[in-house]
Amino acid sequence: MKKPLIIHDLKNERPDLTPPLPGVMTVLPFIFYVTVVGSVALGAMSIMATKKATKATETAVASEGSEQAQSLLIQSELNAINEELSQAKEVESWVHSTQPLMNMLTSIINSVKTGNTLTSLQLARTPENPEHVEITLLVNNGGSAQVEETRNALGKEGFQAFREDTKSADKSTRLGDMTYTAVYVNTRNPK
Amino acid sequence: MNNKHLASLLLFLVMFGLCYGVLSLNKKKQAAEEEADAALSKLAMTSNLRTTAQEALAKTRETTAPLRKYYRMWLPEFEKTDSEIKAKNNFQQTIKRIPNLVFFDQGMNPLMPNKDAVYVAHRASGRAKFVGDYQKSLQLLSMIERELPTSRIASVEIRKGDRANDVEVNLLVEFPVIAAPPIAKK
Repeated sequence: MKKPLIIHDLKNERPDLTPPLPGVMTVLPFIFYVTVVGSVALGAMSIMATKKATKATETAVASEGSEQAQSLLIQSELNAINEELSQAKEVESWVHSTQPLMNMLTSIINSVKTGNTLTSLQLARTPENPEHVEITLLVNNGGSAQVEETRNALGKEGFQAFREDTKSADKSTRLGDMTYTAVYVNTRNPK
Repeated sequence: MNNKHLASLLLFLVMFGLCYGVLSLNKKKQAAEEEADAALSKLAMTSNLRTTAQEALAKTRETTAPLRKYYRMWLPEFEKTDSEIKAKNNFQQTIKRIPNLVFFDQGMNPLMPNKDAVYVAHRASGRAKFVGDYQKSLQLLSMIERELPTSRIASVEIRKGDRANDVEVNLLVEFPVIAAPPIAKK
């Protein structure tokens, strides 16, 4: 198309120096529009997904904190229970070692037959094992017969003897002086 | 290069920029999703640990309930003699309740440690040596075991006294001394 000449336009129309764009470039505007629309769509989707993932992370971190706090509470309660348990075991052990001696004492005293006499009676818990009671019985009159009576009486009450020993100055131990020592344990109320 | 070339170049640059931006956003999204996955798997692990701990707690609670109940039942009695002074007071008040017993010696021995014990760490020992009626002496021993249930008669020696019904008694009673104030009851 020829431009009308204007007086102040001193330049003449010149032919293009560069070659024209290839024909395929006619689709460039279309590609551009598709790129713009696609980028906006994909970008929006990415932003939404990022926001969703960030929110999920925040929720997970918050929940994790809560779980950890609960775990700490549980652990502290567990520690308290274990501590209480160890105390309970010691208390139980002590209570088991306080089995009354009165049963044993009255059984021994009631086992003394008329005419027999005791010089002394000693009951002592062994320091290593307080459930075990060491008996020292000094029979003045009655000898081994009285010791047998006492053993039977204690057996009826559920006391089992071990480490028994008898001593006597006299050879005829049947009715004379005798020292009886033994360690007894209560088999009816074992630990 | 004419205007059309410049316009095309500009369009290419804009398209490149847009693609670059979308790729950057996509990378950010992937990183956020990976972070979310990591946080979720960490949460699942923490949750599992909490569940395991909770189960262990429930089991421990259940299995230890009888012993802990027993402990709480006995605790007030142990607290009555949780120091040497209290043990001494309880012991002396109890042995003086039976009249007409003549005491030659009474007092406390030094605190003794209990082997392998942390809570009931020590024991206080009260000693008494007295002469009196046989029935009253036995009544005293019985009273000690009944009214001071945490005490234990460590040793008792009974010998014949000077008078017909009299006996000489040499007595040693032990009391538990707990280490520290008990833990809070739940």
